[in-house]
Amino acid sequence: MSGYAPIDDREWSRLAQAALDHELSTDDAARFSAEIASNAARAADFARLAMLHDALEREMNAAVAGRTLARRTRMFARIRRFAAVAAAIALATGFAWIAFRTTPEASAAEVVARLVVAARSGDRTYFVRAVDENRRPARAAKEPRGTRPQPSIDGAILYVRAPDLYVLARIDTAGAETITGSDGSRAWIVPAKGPVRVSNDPKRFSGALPGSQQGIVFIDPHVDLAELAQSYDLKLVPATKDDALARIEGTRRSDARGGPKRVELAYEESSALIRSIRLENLPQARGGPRTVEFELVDDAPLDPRFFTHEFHHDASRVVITED
Amino acid sequence: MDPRTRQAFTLWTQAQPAVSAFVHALVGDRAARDEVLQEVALAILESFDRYDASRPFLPWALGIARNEVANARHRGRRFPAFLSEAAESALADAVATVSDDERVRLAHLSDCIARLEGRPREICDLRYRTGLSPARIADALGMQPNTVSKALERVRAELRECIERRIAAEGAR
Repeated sequence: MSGYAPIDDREWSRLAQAALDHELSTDDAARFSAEIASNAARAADFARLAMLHDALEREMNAAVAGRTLARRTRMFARIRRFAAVAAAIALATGFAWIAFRTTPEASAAEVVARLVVAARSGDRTYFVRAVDENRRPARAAKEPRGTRPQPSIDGAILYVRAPDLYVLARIDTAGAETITGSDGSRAWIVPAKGPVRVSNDPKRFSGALPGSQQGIVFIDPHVDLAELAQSYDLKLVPATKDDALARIEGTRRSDARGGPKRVELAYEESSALIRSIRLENLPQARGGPRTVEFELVDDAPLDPRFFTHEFHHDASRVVITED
Repeated sequence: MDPRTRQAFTLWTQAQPAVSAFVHALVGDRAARDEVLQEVALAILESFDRYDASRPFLPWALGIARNEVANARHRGRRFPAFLSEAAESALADAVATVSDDERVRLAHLSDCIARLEGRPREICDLRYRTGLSPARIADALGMQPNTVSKALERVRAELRECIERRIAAEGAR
């Protein structure tokens, strides 16, 4: 027995809401505690409310404004020139990243753990650059006669929302845009011309993703960073007076299969926000660039519907569902 | 990285939303939540050797979270305990029980937030983005604190209903 009178639904709701906002009086806190401790259904109800409350706070701090396709396209044109500035502005605006402490004693494992947690929140927009020391950049490569120009990963924009939502916008040598993506359950491709295709296989159309030919796809930060820690010898390079970003440098272990030989992540020590990713010496057996760089150019939230195919084409386009 | 540490990463990643919600409920504001959460992550890494892999991870992580909240209180952070020990324990059990289902439901949250308009949206922004308490929102909007609290209650209820509708619609497809 708690010693308190039973609480009806209306009163329970008032107490639970006040508890979320930490506005319970001492007496109400005691009644609320007694109810939680003695009534599993009410405890479960408050647990659900607490999860909503926490998720709501995270979502609201990610959802500053919707991003339209037109804005995204305009950004594509500006992005090369202003990438560094945009990243600096995005950081300066102080979105509510989880603040993580990085001490000089922190191990690479601890830092990766912090990066994993930080990567959970918010949307990321990366500018992708293919660097090929032995060939011209993929964008400049000449297409074989008679074949349609293939959209290049060089100059592409990759939009990511953890855990597994992505949109990749590529432009071919003729300037036509191909957009691929996944809304988490369905993959899709919106070519410049022809029907939109949708598949229930989330991995369909993912071949264009940076590193997919090599078995490393930087789409899901949790998986990818865990993979990094598993397959690479990691070295921490703290920020210096001359370089405000700390780095993790990874060298692929001899027993690890696939993936680039070297990986470098540059991140903000205070926020654990990854600012750039560089994959060097990617395997060449299936083509693709030797080195790929991802530079964070925006961390502003995307429209809630951004990862659906409908967001990226007119309603008049023919949509073919595979499977 | 050794296999145990890799396992810790994986399990922590899965558990983190539930632990975050639990800590948030206990400490009240997001700055305190994030501070405690990073201590929880470190404590899990440091003590993972003591984790019995035959048992569920989330209750173990929530136990560590309770300890870290208590440690933070001892260090002088100002978030007084409003739940009794028995209530904290019951809440931890409840979070562990509902966590999987709620994670599925909350995948619809962003769509439902996008449907909020007008004053409810404004109050939601002030509460969750700006981080104002209901009393400060009331000051800012010239409303009674009780009215703001009621409005927040309705916003949360609307969001939960919206999520339920979406799940029901998904099931009907």
